[in-house]
Amino acid sequence: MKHIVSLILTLASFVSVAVSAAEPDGAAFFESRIRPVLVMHCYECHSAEKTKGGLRLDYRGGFEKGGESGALVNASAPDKSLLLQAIRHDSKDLRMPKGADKLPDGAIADLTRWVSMGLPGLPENPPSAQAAATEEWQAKLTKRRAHWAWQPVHKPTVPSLAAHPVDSFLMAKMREKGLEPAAPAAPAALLRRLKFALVGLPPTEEEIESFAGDLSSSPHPIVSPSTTEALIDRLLQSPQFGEHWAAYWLDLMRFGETGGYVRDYPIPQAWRYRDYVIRAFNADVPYDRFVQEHVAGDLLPPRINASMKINESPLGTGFMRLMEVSSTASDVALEEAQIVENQIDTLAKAFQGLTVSCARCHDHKFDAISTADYYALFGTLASSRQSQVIIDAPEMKDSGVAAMQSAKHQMKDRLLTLWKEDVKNEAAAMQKWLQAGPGNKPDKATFWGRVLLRQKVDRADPGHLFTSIARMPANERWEKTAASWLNEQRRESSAREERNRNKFKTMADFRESDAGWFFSGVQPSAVWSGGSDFTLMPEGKELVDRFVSPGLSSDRLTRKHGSIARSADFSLGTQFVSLRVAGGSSAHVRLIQNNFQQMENIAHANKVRHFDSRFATWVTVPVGHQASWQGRRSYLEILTKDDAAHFRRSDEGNKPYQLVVNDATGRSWFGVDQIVEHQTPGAPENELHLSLRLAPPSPEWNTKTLATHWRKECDAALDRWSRDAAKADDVELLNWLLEHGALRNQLAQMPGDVQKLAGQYRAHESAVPRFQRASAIVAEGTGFDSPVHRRGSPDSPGEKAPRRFLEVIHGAEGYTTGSQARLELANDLTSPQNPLTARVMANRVWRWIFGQGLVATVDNFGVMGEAPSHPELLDYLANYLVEHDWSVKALIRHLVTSRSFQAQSIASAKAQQVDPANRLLSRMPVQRLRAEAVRDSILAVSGTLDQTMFGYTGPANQSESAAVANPKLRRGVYQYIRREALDHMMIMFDAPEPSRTQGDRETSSVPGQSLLMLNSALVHEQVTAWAAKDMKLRKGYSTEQRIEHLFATALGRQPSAHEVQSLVEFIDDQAEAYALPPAARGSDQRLWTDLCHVLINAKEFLYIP
Amino acid sequence: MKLSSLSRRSLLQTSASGFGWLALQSLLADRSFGSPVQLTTPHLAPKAKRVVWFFLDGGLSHLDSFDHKPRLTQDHGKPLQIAGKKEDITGRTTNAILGSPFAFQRYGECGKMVSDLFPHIGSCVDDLTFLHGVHGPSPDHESAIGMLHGGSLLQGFPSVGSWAHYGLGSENQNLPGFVVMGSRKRMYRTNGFLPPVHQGSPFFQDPARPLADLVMAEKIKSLQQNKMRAVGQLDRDFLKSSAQNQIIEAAIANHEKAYVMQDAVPEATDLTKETAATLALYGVGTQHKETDEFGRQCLVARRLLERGVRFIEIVSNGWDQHGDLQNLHAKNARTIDRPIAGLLKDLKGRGLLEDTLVVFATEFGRTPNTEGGGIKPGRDHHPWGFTIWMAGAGLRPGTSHGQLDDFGYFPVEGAVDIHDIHATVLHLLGIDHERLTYRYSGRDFRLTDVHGKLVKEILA
Repeated sequence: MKHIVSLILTLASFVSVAVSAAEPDGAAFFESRIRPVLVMHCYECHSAEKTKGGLRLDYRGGFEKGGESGALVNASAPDKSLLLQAIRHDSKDLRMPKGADKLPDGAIADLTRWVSMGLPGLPENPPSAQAAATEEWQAKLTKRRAHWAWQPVHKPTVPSLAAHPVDSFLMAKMREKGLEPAAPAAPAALLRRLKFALVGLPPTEEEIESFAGDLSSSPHPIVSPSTTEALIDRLLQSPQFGEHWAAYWLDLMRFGETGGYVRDYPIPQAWRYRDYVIRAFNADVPYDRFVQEHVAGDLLPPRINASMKINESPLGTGFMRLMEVSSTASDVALEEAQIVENQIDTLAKAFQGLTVSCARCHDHKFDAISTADYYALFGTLASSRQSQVIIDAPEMKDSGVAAMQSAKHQMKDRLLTLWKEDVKNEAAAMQKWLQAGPGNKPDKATFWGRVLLRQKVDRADPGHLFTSIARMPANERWEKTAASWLNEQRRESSAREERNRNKFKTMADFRESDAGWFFSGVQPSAVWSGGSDFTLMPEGKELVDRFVSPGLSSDRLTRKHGSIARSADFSLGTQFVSLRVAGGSSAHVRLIQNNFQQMENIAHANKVRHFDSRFATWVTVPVGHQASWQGRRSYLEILTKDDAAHFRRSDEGNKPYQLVVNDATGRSWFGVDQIVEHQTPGAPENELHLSLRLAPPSPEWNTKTLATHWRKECDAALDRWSRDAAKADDVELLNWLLEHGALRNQLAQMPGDVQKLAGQYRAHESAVPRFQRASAIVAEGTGFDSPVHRRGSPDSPGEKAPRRFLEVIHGAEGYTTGSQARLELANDLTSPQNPLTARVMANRVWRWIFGQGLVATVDNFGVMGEAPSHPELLDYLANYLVEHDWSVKALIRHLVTSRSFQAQSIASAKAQQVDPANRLLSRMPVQRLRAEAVRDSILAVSGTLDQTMFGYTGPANQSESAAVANPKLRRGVYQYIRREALDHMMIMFDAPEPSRTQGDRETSSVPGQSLLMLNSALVHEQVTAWAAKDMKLRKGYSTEQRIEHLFATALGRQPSAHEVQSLVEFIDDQAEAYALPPAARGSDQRLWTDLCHVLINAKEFLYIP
Repeated sequence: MKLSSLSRRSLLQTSASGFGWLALQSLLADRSFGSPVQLTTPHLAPKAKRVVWFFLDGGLSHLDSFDHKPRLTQDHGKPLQIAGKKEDITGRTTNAILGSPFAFQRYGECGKMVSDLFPHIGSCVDDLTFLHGVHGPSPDHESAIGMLHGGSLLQGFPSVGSWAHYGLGSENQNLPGFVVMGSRKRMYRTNGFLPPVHQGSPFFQDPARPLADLVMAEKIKSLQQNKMRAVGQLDRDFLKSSAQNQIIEAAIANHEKAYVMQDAVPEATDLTKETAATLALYGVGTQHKETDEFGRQCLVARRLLERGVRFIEIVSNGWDQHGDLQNLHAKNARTIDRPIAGLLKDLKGRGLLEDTLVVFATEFGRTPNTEGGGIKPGRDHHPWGFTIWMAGAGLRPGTSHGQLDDFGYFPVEGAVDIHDIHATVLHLLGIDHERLTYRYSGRDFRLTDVHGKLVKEILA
């Protein structure tokens, strides 16, 4: 009811402002009888937005002024008013509404009366374009919502004409036309039909014998319904069911595995989505859950696949990533608009049978879908981010975590004691060295030797003071040098701080907080921490890798725990962003604008920056100075290597782009503690606090104070580390000590218990699995409401369209959650109030079984689609689906157990006359095999079909698991779909180009199909293999026997005597053409290869009667 | 299931004459057969019956080919100052003007200035009609190519050849009606949401084979004939058992048509009967290394046009010269200049240019300011003003329409967009672009969407 309330409010507010002081009856008459006519028939051309002919009809002044054709109203002779002449179509030259039907007589009478009343009720002032548009839309919405598809699903009474409800509904319509259903199909034909309908494969000889009985017996044995149902149940339970039905679904999801266009780069792990769909159909995941997972699988409670130990749920959102994407974008806003358009188009057509994307530039021309609806969905989807997500079940992610934590925890106290001892010794060594005076170089092999003999040392280095002393000439007093160093260092320190302050603006400082960033990854490695931590080497002679700065980091426990850190949305006005990061193995930072992921090695690759540094260092990302980049909705993301795709052109000419992601271990890591933005190039200068901290405040210079102070600071840093309270400077100091060998780190130098703990840690670390990722979307941040793009152009933003579902279904109330609004959308799609979801799916299942939908336009239930041929049956099936717990298998079973499905495909003379298109289904339609089934059948009858399920089948690729051997022999659904090199056979047999949703595959008949069946290498390889196998299998069979078996394998039935005879003649003809002697005819394989070739070229091979 | 490739009349005809050889003969004789969606009457009187559409992939520089801008040479190296100048695309462009490295000279009676890149095409200028004020919406290759071919920046829209085929059908049932040569890219030949029968057939993806699966697999013709006969027997029984189901009937007819195509296509693409003079005209032969491949495609195109193929797109690749424009543009031009001119002259000599439309298009031009600079300068993408030319049926030959400013940046008169080009091409084919629609998911789609104005100024 919400929408109606809002309509009334709109009108009411309008009336209260605008109604003139005319007679009250006149105003009421205007509101009830005139305004609706003006809104529906006139305002599209004659109101605020458009004033065709210079005429506006939305306020009094407009009527008084008239248009280019002159005054509208003749006050002295109202009946002769131009307005009335135009609507009465008095003259040929001026007929209104233009290009449309004449208004109803009643409306003309009302307008005539209204003119004679003196135009009461009109607003005095011109309404704004916005107000006019809103009013016009509300009027259209009220009218358009009467369309059948928006009405609630009814519970129709099942006519009692047949045992099966489906047959009853169909027979009711047939009876109206005097038709009777066709007789039942022969058992062999029924078997073949069921096999292709349910699993997409031809029956085997064994199946034919067990179902249809002995091939040689005639007439056909009767098959009992229970035998048929047992077969149906077996097929529904077979793994091949999911493979066949997933292929239908993948058409809807315009499934492809590359991004198309010039570079055609791979879409990472697209195959996982395909496998997910196959598993979902096999597991009969309730359809409402399946829909929800597509829209918001990342936000739902997990659906754990116990055998694979993965969470299936987020895989559904992968469909949002399967579209074609430009690889050379320079206008990211336009790219985003195109990507989201494709997402909305797919979502709306596939789940709702609606052409919502028609409302991208203007309100839908025919349906109750406004531009505001479109952009409400736009904001809902664009508030999400594209991401790789880990799909492993929690138990996998927890592997070894507790044991590794415990080993580290026990080690920590031991290390503290050992390292304090090391610091004490090094302080003593320093004192000794200082006492020896300038000119005495320390031993190179010691810590102080390594530190002091370095050539170039930055002032920020913790050892800078000591290096300066070490460089001093032998005849000078070092105390003097130290004092002047302190002065100089202080001056430089404030200068650097000031320069940094002036040039850089902090975007995020993780040293104190997580700065509102989003952090995903495997806990507890991937966390923000303000204290400090340390990481261990997974292998080698050293124990500790590094001390971890306060901030975000991915590898606190192990580098196998990948992670992604992302900022909230921001808009940049500066040209550079710099980040202080540590990291390695292809860890990288990306600047994402308008959700568009620029690809590496391709245009604008500089938005991606890799870094490889054990300790913190600055990296800079250039934003670009132009409006294309600045002011965009942006975010930063920092990722470990498995969590994002890198693209690299293959070195081999025209080969496809590759995903380059992984090494064998899967280890990668990052840490980040500061992010700044700036207008000129160059990262922040290192500041000098730490090096100043290590020098005692003047004037206490002597060997003892210097060494004591140094030791005190180092001890303090270690103590704070042990209490998880180290600050950034402490960590920098500790890492400096560790790197130069002041803190012992060789495993061999460690006491036995520490070595043992290290061994335990390493054993568990190496057992941490390589996590599985999938392309998905994630919800982060507050979400945003998109402005309407005027005329579809993102450069012309209009009013904001708050995120919500279609007004006609769920009212105009906006969503209340942030980026998680997709969950609200998922619920709206599957709520009992939604009249479309169940209907659309029931109709699709019907289409996939019977070859034509009850609504023939399966992707369009709108006004321009076709009305249902059997509306009551459609609603009955929608209810059936919902009431059977949204079980697609139950619905399929219900349909194929009907007598209608099991009927012959032969039309009676009457049916041919009355219903040639077979809309009433008095017989089962003849259907051609789908492209996948053509291919699978050729392989299956030839005995070469590899029935291995699942996995990546594309070209060798570092990022994907190893491809299976010879994927070409696997079922069609597993064939790799490279958009710019689509499989010729699939295209020839009408597999759609994967660009847009296709729920109703065309079935064409073109010569190219026959050329392929006649001459293609694939066909010839297969028939050759088939004949060779059959020769071995049926040694000693007669020509006739052999023909019978091959025939049955190919066409699923026994040949007639006439057919056997003509094929025997064919064998003779070929033998003659090959000039074979009569004796060789049984044993020459070429004859049998040719016979197999003939059989699969028979139309009966492709067409299922 | 839709019956898309046969008319009812031809079905009856094939059924009536029985299957096998007689049917094949009748198929061969019936030239009107095979039009998938034939307009009953054209919207308008068609001027052109067929189209050759050259596409230069990557962006030919209008400033270095057909749009002479001496101001660039005068101001070479100076900063480009244009009101409303667009942002650069790649971020690598400098603002320095680049004078054309190519000399221009006058050609023909019309005195058109053409650069040294295209001397042979230059010699045809009196037959050409130049559009100098073309502008597109996108500076990215992919969306600009999408716009030029499908009239949309979005994916999934049928290409112009597919639309033409949908509107006009094919004149020859033994050959595909829409052929694409020189590229594998899907964008050029996609049928989008139109039925698959309107998809362009990629010719010469393998240089040795004009079309996929065309070469008879059997070594002896009689082996295949025997198979055809055996299949025909089975199919006849099957058809009978299906009570003459039309879908099966159509499939049978197409099977027989495929058989005929095995001979028809090689015949159409066989150049051995062409004279030495013709081969030389197109630059075909071992002595013409640079032009041989493209020349062959042009010559095959003429033979296909003669046999009733509706729409042929020939793609020339590699025009995206961000650097080293002088050498690479020249190298590219050498491969296509003589063959294109050869085709124009040959068509004219045979009287075919009167009812054939030739279009020479690129997705965008290139910037007057330089990219790369240094010793091998190039130019960036420039969709805001560039040149497309046409020739043949229904056009005013030897004329130029539209003009860019002195720097070749924005149109100052005669601006036309891509939809206008499409509207005009369809018009010349006798199709009203506003009435050529296809209903797809609830909307009547057009090649020109809601846009497109006829460029009347160039029509004869």
